[in-house]
Amino acid sequence: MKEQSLGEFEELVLLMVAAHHDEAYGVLILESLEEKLDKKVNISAIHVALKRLEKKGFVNSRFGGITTDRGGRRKKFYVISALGKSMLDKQYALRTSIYQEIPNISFN
Amino acid sequence: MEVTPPKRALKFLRWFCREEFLEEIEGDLMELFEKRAGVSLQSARRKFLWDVVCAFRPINIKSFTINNWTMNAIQNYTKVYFRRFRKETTHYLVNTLGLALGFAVLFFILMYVYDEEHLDRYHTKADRIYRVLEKRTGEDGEVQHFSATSNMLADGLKDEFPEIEETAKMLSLGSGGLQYGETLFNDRNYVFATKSLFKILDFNILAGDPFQDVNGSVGVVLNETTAQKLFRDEDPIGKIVTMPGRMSSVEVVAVYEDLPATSTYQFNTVYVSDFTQFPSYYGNWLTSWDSRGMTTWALFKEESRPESVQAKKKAFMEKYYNDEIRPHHDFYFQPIAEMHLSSAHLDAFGTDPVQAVPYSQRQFVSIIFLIGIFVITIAALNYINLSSVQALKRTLEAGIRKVNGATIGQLRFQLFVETFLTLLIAYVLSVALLIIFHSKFLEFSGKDIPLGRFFSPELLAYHAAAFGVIWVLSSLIPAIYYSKLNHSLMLTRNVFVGKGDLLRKSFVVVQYGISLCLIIGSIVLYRQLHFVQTKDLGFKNDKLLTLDINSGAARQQFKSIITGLKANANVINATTSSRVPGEWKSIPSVELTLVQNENPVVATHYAADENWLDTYQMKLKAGSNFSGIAGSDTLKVILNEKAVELLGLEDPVGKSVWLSEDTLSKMQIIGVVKDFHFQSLHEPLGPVVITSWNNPVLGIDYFTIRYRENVSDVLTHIETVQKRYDPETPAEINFLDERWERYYQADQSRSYLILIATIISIIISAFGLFGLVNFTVERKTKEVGIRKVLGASIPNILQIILRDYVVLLLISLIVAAPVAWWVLSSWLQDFAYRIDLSVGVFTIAFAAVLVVSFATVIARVYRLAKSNPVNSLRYE
Repeated sequence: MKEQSLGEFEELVLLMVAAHHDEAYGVLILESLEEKLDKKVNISAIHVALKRLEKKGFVNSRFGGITTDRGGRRKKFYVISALGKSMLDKQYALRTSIYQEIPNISFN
Repeated sequence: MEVTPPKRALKFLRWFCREEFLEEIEGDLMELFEKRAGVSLQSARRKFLWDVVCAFRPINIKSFTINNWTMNAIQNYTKVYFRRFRKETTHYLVNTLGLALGFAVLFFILMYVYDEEHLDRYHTKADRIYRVLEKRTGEDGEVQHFSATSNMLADGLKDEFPEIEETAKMLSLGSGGLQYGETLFNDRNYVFATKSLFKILDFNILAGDPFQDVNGSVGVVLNETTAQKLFRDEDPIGKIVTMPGRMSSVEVVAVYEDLPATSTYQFNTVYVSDFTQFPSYYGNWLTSWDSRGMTTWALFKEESRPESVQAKKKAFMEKYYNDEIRPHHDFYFQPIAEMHLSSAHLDAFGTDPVQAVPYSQRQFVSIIFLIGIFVITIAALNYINLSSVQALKRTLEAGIRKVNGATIGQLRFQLFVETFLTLLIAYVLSVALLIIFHSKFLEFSGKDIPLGRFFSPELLAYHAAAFGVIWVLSSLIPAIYYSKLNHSLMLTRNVFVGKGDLLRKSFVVVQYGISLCLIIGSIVLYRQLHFVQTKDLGFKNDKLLTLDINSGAARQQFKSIITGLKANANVINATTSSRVPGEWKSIPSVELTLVQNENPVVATHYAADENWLDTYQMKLKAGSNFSGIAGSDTLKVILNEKAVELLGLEDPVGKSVWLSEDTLSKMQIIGVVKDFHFQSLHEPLGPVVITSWNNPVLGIDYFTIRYRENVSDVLTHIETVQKRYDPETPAEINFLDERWERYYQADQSRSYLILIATIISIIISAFGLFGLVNFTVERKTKEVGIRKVLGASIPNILQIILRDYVVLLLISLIVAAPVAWWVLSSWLQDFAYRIDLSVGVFTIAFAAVLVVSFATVIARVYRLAKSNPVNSLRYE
């Protein structure tokens, strides 16, 4: 099987899903991301990223209960899967190890 | 204020979004909207709209190919169609081939009709160009129509009527030729015309300028082919050519591209002249209003109609025609586009230019068109019949589809799709047939239509229309059968409901009725043409050559020329005469009376020498031939039997008769010749008077040579003799029987077209019958098994299956015969000499249909009849 890849935006969304464990859904992810990144993100970009993550098996999803909000539509909650977590760990380890190899560079 | 997102956007989202994503996406969008609406409703709505647009991306869009029933259905129907094609190859092949043949015939005929209807329409001003026709009333009240009008008409019309922008006149004087240096050839296809002809008709000038002034003398404009023939690679412009016997030193002023094949007239040469350059003896005739010669063209101004000229005609007539001649003349306008199909009423005249495309008749074009419709109808009926029995066989399929929720509409739609596929395959095949048989078609129709024109946008539009009409009409009935199958029988396999039997049978009757009509028509046509071509004309028209007398030199030395002509072993006889039987120029007539000016008999007038009767092998009934001694023959005549009968003479030889043409002369009858035909057999045989060559009124114009064999030797001999006595003029030689064939050429090409359409119609009908019988045979397999077990013989079984169809054929005959009878007898009316419509013709037609149809099915039926009953009983 081909090595699963993770795009930059997908990685951010996956991190956000992990951060809001068991509470993550579209609008929440959007708002937190906008806050962290300090820029506007379109909701459908989040949706697409979530779909892809789900297809790759990095997240699992479940529907919440019906409320009067949201035009009576249920929330779709996402939870990071074991595979997703190990992917994040791997990414983190990779980045940290490379980061540590950076010599002391001065920019003055 | 109500807090709702834009309705349309939401609706759009719900429409395109995949079911499984909709809940989440819509929910999130709504939540965002609700939050944003707290700040500004306006901006929230705008943002919602933008979010919907952003969500409209491939990953979210539902698969319309899977969920939309039409797309899915067409794929499935196509698949099922081709599966059935493989399973029931016979049925589908018969259906498709029948339609392909039908289409091919229809498309050929459409092309033919289209071409006939569009002749002469290529001129850019075609809707404003009119040919002026002359209506002439004779002394005896007889009305004739000519395209040869009064020679001054063009000038008068232009002077008097402001509606007319331009007029032109043109004139042909019979034989002609061209000479440049050593190159010399005959060409009858020329006109003398005013310059304005080039302003009215479309000529594509390749070089030079037809309007250029050649110091008042005649200039000549050639078409490309003629220029090529005359000058090879030299530049023709400014060269001086000769028209032997008529014009010496004419300057070539322009060359034009050959006129298209869709033109009635195809001049090779146009001599540009204002008719003042003609020899003085033409003078009076050319400027006379009481003349007949010029073909006159009128170009009307935009928005002007010939009706307004017609309304003012009375004053015009009074101004230009004096009281004496006015009652005999009248003129009217014929649109140039009507020239080809509306000129059958015109009488030919010697000054008419050669027609490259002979006139046809609208009536014939309609008939041919009708035949095309007939043939495609037969093919469509085949399709309807065969598909409806097929539909009845597909109970199981229809059942399963219904159980799975197909509506009646969907089942019908399925049949429409299947018909479309069949027609599409048939269309592709028919296009292949068009390409394959294109050259044959040109040969039979006598047309010159490049293959590309079969697929011009207009023709393709007709194809599409035919396709569409046939599609809808022939899908309808099978679709109804298929969709309305009895519900309780639906899921049983191979149950056949005998529904629609009567309808099917009546279709078979119609098909065979049409085929029978066409066959009867073809047989009668063929017989009649054979009859007129082999009928005893009263003389032998084969092995006769004519040589035109085109110069004074030849006319004066005719005796020496005849002697010269006879000096060849292969020449049996030679004669000279004013006209020849089968003549294309009009033959002069003369009034015969016993007592001066009482009860005149109008007879056709020939002048001939003493060799005429022998050369043509005509028989004298009484009296004697001319003596050959000039002085004694001058006032002698020979009459034909018809003239004697009309004059009411008992014992004509030795009696006197008055001949009045321009002058009145008293002549003595010396002989009576047996009746001979001198015109097409469309015309009744008329009275004839033959005077001697040196009679006072009529000069000689032809030599006729009867030869034994070795034509090429004879032709060379004739040319040598001509050169010896008349070195100026090229010899113009014709085969007399070829001239006779011209009379029937139109009939001939029609009969070919009709014959071919007929043969194809029989083939298609036979296809249909084969399909139906094939089906019956399948259905009756078990029945036949049981009958055989009970002791039926093979003939018994053949009889059981075929009996029904024989009855149907008989009914078709009863329906078709009166129709065919009526149509054909009115066609035969057109011939003065015709065959009788006999019962035999109808019998032959019936037998032909019977044989062809049963020959195609008998093998199939026989196989069933012979089969082992054990197998047939196991069937199903």
